Amino acid sequence: MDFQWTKKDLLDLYDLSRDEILHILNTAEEFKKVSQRNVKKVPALRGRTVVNLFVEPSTRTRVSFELAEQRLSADIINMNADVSSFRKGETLLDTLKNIQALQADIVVMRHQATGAPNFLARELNMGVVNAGDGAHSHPTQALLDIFTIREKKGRIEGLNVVIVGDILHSRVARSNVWGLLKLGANVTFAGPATLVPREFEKIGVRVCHNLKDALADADVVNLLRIQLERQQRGYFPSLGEYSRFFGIHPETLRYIKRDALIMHPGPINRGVEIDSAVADGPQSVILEQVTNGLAVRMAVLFLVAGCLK
Amino acid sequence: MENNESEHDTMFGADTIAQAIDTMSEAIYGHISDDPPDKVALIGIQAGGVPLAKRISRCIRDRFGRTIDVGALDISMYRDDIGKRKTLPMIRETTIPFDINDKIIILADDVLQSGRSVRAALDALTDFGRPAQIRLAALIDRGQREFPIHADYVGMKVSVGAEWRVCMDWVECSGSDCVFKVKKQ
Repeated sequence: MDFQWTKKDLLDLYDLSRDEILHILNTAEEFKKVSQRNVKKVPALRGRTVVNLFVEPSTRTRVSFELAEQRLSADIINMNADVSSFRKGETLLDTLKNIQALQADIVVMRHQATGAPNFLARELNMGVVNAGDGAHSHPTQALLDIFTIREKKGRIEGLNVVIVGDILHSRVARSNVWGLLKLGANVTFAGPATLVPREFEKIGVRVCHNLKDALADADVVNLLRIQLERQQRGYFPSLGEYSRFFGIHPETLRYIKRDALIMHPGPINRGVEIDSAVADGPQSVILEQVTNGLAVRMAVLFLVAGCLK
Repeated sequence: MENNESEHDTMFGADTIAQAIDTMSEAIYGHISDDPPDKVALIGIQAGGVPLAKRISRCIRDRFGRTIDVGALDISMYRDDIGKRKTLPMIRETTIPFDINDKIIILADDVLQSGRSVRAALDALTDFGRPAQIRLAALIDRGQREFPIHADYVGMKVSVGAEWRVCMDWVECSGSDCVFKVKKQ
């Protein structure tokens, strides 16, 4: 019954066992209740210092982490790449070792380079929480997606989860897939052939280039944001064409299950991958994902902090 | 629960425990019998205090016909030793399905020793509201307090050396009621 969390870092869901993922989700359920109380703060990380190092721009993830840290009573330092010493040529490791020398306890990091947090976790005594690295991993986003699905559907095992969009460049899809597969979901990646590589079939993902086929038995539809610059690179002819073939419109809802969840990690491009009527409709859980993200990040920080020596 | 440890001595069995709960329930009822029914609630500290709170509530209902609400409080987020312990405590469910403002809250815990869990529970409770009073019920008081905390209702007092841990099994958790001591490793 008792489960022991032993990791000082959260890098990717690939590294976690099924039980570890479930332990984070169960812990997050209790932290979600904290945010529903009048007093929305607990002293769990009192006296601990968390550094938010966002080398790549981020708004919602950074705000969510920062609020999670505040609700845990941690002290917070926010560092942006623009004003930091990276511009003066200091290496990432030197910057982090300097922060560590100031007795900071945890670094939450977003970086454009794949594996940057994995590298740092080996070199530092501080806890490292990956807030997104390149197209590799975004573990807290995947955890909040899975948390939301479990909360709404009561289970993960046996569900058909379809992730639609730019899988090729998506760390959200790459993290979701490991967590979902470990918990027994059936995962489909859907989108244009240029953005959905067939390689994912090797790990047990169904790859589908026709949206109607992909969504036929879907219990969950998770839409990824189409980055507007992809069009210039020629991955698809136009945003209008992408939207026509892979966007979710009110008409799309007619051929998917009535209780299928519509999810999106945000920020959403209304009228491209999702129409407003769907994004704001009864099947959408997009804002609940945001709420749950806070609980999941509180749980992750609490567990990581508990393993620091 | 602690079967992997070296020494494991049973101190009290089910009958003694039931008798102690009965005595505690009687004492608690004696103090609250004049209060309106919804004025009093029991809150068990996770994990061992929750079965105790439920047993006391059941005992008072069966013997005196009085129903008392029961809640469960996890104190992991309020501990003062996170990072100092070998292992992180597992967060268990907190459910307080009633308003604690202006109520008499009887906190229940299985084993009272240092008083640190109770200190954390007091912090946690005050984040849920402002009770009129908080009282403490402990099935086992083994002394060795590190905080100025005192139980209002005690089932049994025991005297054991600091090298022992006093633990409890409940039927609800592990199939039998039992108080036992294990030597610290």
